[in-house]
Amino acid sequence: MNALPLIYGFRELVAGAGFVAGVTVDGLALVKKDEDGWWIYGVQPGGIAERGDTEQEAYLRFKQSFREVLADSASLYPTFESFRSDLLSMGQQLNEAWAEEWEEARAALRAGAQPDGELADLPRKTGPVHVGIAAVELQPATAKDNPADTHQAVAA
Amino acid sequence: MSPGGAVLLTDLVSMLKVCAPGVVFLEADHRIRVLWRGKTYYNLPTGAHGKKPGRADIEVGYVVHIVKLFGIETCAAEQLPALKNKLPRRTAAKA
Repeated sequence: MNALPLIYGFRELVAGAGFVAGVTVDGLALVKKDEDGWWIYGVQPGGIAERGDTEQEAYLRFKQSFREVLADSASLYPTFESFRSDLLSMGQQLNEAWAEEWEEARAALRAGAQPDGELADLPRKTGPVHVGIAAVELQPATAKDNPADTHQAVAA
Repeated sequence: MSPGGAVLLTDLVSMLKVCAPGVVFLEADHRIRVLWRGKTYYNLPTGAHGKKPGRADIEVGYVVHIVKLFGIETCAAEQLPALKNKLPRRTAAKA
């Protein structure tokens, strides 16, 4: 297989002008190997991509970039509501071209294709997948709001 | 720099001005946002290796992602030869 349909999720704390937000990201991405390494292409949210020398490095860099994008949003938007609105738009954006390849890769797995590489052993998830970005203002924050990976799986 | 190829930020900007007229660049603290027709690419690197602004190398994968997000594959491949073998068969033929 030359593409892996990834499902991922993580939680992040983001501080803005006078607010602290808990952000939950649930997304789809396409993992592809190119001659220059591994790429994680965001399908939905569809506006982020990142590269690494290995799949795991690419994914770690993808999440790091995503965190920086969230921080950028907090710096660009001066209120929690405008910040939240930006994240909602970000979470709804679909990269249609990659979405088509993501579905093809999922269909290939269902047809019996065997993925290889570091992410091949991730749990398989079938059925509908929740996708989007949610933000809540934390007043006050608690320990359960701390950043964490919430899930990572291969769509099948 | 990765061996897979890179383009200068200035060349990427020139391509987008041709293929995505009206494109807007919004530089934030960490990344540059690229906005066009209701679509936003969020994580264009501001540049690597301490080069002068505009002379930074942008890895082709980022460019491919932007091009696919905006649906400007054919025009982009004409403007940036580095993309010609990077766009999948289906999209390279898209009008």
